[in-house]
Amino acid sequence: MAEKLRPVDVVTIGVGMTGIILAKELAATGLKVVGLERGAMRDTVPDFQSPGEHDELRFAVRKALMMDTTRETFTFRNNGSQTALPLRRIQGFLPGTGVGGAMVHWNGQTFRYQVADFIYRTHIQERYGRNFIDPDLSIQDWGVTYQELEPHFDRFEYLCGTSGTAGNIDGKIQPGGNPFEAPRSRPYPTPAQKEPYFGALFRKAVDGLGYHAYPQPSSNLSQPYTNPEGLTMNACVFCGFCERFGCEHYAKSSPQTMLLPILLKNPNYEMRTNCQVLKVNLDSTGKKAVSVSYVDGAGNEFEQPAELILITAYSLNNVRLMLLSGIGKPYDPRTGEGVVGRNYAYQTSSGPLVFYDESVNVNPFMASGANGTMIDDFGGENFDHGALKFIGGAYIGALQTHGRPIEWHPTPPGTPTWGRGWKDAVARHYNHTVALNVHGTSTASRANHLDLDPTYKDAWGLPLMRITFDFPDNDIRMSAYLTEKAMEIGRAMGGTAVVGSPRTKPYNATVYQSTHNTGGAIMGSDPRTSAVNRYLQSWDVPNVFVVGASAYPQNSCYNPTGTVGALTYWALDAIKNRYLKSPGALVPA
Amino acid sequence: MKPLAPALVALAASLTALMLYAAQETAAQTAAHAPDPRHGLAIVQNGTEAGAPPCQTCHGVQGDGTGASPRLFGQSREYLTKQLHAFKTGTARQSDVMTPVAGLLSDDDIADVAAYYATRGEALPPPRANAAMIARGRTLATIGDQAKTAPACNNCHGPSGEGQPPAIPALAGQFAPYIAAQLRLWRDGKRTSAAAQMEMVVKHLDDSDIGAVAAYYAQIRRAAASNAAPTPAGTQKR
Repeated sequence: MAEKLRPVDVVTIGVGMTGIILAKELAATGLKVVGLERGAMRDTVPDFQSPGEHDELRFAVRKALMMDTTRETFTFRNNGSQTALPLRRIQGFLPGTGVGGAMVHWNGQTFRYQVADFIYRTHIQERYGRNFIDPDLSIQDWGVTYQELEPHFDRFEYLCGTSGTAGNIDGKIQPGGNPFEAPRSRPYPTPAQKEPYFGALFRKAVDGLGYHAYPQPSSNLSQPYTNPEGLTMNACVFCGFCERFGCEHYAKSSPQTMLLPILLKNPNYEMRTNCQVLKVNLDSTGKKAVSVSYVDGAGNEFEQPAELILITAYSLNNVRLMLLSGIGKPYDPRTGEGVVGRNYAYQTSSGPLVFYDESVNVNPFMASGANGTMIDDFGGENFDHGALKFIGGAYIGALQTHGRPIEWHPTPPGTPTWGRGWKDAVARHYNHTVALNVHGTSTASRANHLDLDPTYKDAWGLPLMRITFDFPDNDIRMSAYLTEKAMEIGRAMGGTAVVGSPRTKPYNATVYQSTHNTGGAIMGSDPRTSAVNRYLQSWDVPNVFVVGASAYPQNSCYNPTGTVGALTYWALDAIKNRYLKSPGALVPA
Repeated sequence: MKPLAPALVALAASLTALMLYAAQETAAQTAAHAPDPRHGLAIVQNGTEAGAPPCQTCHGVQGDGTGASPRLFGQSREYLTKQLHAFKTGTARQSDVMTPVAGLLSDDDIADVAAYYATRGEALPPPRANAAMIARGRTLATIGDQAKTAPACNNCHGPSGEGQPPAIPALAGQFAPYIAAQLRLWRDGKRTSAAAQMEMVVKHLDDSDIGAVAAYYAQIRRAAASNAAPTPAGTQKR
């Protein structure tokens, strides 16, 4: 029997980036806020200190910071004719757990999406005609525009202290930046990180080809920075242990470094760790959420009543909790009806390798998680697709994030896969190879979706969520075209060989590609095709907001965190300045 | 011990990354000149014709130092070179003693003295120190202090403070007053680095923290100092 707790004003389900940003601001208005986190508390000191934190086997290979798959996971299949099976090893993507969430172990790659991304269907139809989009694609507009989000992108970047070179300030193209970027209202808070040698090799090649090189925007900071909350972060030392690790130097923006200490000082806030949320409970009308049921670390069950419930977990878990709680109608791929689970998307990437002779020393270990040189000439809608028979694009760059010994051992085709021959090749090529990144759009399709698995359950007896995903043919055509563009760049980089291949079907969930799982609780302006309105508020249960990349109607070619940050501040603005004054639906359904 | 091995390899690799950024400058300066430790020894013992006094007056022939002057042994050639240049130009370090001395050394002299001291030295008996201070120092050195947003010193200075050559100096066995004095210089902005790493770390430490961490490192004795800089990439034997 669950113990019923004293009501509070706000509960956040998940204490990661979105939960902490929202809780900090709402607690500051005087509201009582409780944060429920399934994982443990951790902080820069003592948890992320070296040499323990540099244990590549523990963190990168065995995924010490990730979701415990013995208790819960996702099931996966490529299409509706298959039977999904549980992912018991974390391989294809990295769902975090614990305080700070996935932003503890991210790489710090901090982008804004393009103006066209937010009006994607409208834009594509206007530019290329109504019949240009493959009929199996279900891309949509977001219901919010870049112009509306700009102040919130700005606020998030200044919270992080993001290091970069502006390319477009209020419409004026800036030297050294990305001339294709959406206009920003002011420069990045800190200058770009130093260019690594592999970035310089790439820059030289793309300059010769007439493309527009710029430094990758990074939330591993180039210099010490004090953010508007008064917290100071340090400069990155290029240790090359970012993704899959916490940062020991206070140099990577994460909830712990950029906001959490402020939140924890507020007596209106209470964080409860090791608390697994089972369900958001609705009243008899099904139109109002009344409480959250959870189990603590000792196995005791509680019911926490609250006026406002913010679902702020990892994007996939946001969707699962909606399905488990009966918030919104589940999506049915056969009819195309329903909204929760709709438009699951990912990232369509490939990675050509440029091999050099032994005179070129790349020193890949001298890296940060977001420190390289790239071009946006083929990003999203930055080039004409009219003759190309696909939509979407990719950024291309030399963006190596590490040279860690277990994971980084590029070898050319024909190398033995074990034994002396393999070892010799690893030693020969370790320091003389540059990886390129072709980071492509993931369009939404009718078939790709999320729902509850009919068979497999978690440790608390609740159904796991099932992921049904394969690359749409459109995205395969996009990857073929843009991987070839990257190979051309690779050949201009002066190596002895360029090896690579575009992304092919089927999607393989056992090979890491990215942790950019998006959609499933998408935002929009029509309750028949979106689960949340333009303020991330549930259409069906207005005192529930669902915040995260789960709101993306499809995924752009950029890393999603910057846009999650902007959407979080956008939703916060609506909650603080509109919802709290007059609770109820912010957009009439 | 096996599970630790990859972590240590990884740590070494990552810190090497930092070092190489720093090492690039000194590499350029010494590219034309092959450092001559025998000429370095001559300067250490006798000074230079230009008027630089013998280094041994303060640092000893073996680089033992006196307490007012630091011990030099265990530091890499690259680190010693960089510091002498910092004194000579007076940008990142100023000292009424060392700035004039370094100003009388040519770039080749600096390379030779650094090459000599980088191969010297043996551990001296550890000083006596207060156990509570050492315990506090050990915490700061190996774990850090979240309340002061101070990461562990060993993140960069290596396990047991043995340094991460070529760029990052050894702290183990250094005189406590010298470490404390340098930390105060970092804190007061009188010693600086390009990315303000040390300035940021020391900013939140008070005098008792500084005394503790200095006392901790002063009493560490390493089994054997390895002064060899990493083999330049691409030239390893396989």
